[in-house]
Amino acid sequence: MRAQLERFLLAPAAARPFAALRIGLAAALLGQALQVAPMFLAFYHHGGLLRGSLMDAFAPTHLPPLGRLAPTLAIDGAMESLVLIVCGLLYVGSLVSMLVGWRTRAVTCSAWLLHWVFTSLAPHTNYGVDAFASVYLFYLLWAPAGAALSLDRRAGRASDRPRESSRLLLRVMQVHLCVAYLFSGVEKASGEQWRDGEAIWRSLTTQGYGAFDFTWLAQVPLLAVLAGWSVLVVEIGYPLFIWPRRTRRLWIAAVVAMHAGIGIFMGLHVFAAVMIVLTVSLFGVSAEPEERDQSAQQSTPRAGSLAT
Amino acid sequence: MTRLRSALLLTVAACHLGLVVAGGLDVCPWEWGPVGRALTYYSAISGAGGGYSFYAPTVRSAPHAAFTIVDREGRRVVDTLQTGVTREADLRMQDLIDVVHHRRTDDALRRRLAASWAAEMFARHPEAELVLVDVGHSRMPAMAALRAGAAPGWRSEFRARVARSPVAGARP
Repeated sequence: MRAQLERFLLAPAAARPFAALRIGLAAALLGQALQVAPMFLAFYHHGGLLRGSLMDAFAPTHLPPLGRLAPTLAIDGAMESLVLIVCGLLYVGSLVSMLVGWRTRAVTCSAWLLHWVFTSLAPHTNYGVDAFASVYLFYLLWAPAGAALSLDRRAGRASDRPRESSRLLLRVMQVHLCVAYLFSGVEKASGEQWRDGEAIWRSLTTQGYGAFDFTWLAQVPLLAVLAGWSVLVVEIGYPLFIWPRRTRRLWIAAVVAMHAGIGIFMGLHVFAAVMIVLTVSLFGVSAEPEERDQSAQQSTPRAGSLAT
Repeated sequence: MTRLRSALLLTVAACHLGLVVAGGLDVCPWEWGPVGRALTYYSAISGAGGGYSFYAPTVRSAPHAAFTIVDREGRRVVDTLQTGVTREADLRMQDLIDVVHHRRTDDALRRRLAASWAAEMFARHPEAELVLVDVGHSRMPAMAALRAGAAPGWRSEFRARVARSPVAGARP
């Protein structure tokens, strides 16, 4: 039992899942950055939609509000615009470098830091995608994300030697995702709306979320009930069915379908893309070392049949 | 990897995942003294302390802010904060407007929000003398109610009237 647990947590793992996560996350966040760009200063500048000190009124009460740095450093409006634009360009540059895997560790650090800066500057505009992006950018800081499918690998700056620490980090990232889906599903199930279909109805028809006319759904409420229960089963069942090989593909497909639906029908494109990237890269991409890797790791055991 | 290093990494991983679970349960260690404060900072930076109740347990109607711009001759134009340029920007705008609901007990803050958004409208419409702010949401009846003939409607949550200041900006 102990040996099995040790294999599960510490058997050397290849870097492919981290590389897939790096590429997928960077691509999704680049898409997000390009979409936010037209309203960039409106959201993040003290002369934007929240003027002056109002901008900092929504920061967490026990953490230092980053926005107050501007007046503290006597940065005026024009200088603040310049600082923000430079930070924005650095963020986009970091994401592009992450995407191609150039100086991966340094640019991931820069992307994570700047993402944290922007989410801290305008917490009133954040939503779920920002939380997940922040979490998994932080994990990528510690992962050998440039060890595969990267310019670093091609230039010989990174090695994709399977590592025990990679396996442990992968397990932490996977368990975190399981916790997120479980809590999300249980919280949904605690109310009536997801069980009687009203949550699906409201998501698809209320102003702002609805990209299509779904008022016909009121005539077939059973469909909304089925969809609501499907979401509950997929989310609550995630930590149970994503691990065994037999059910893993089915659950990945179900999660991808659920998020594709959210992206298409609710218009949450970036959120859907990030969530699909997380499940596919962490559970759909094998971390098992290839033959050539194993020849260098003759004595190391495989992770067992439970998970990638 | 040495036994000691393995044990150390496993301990760090277990503590980190403990904070992830605590975050999901909405437990904040801030009140636990200096260690609690350090854990709170770590949770904030790593994202371990986040919650996961997205659209749960209920789904509310999306908020909307309508601005009626009135010029000196009394002509009226309706405008919104949403630009329609990109969906992602508009989603963030919705979250911003939702602050009016989240801070529904803080009227002073809501007045400041209205003044700030009205200032944006005065910038967009230089001819405007007055901005009428109406923040609320479209109410879609439940499926059964819609079948029974109920109609969608608008519910205001906060209204304000902001006049252009003769000196600078706007006043609520």
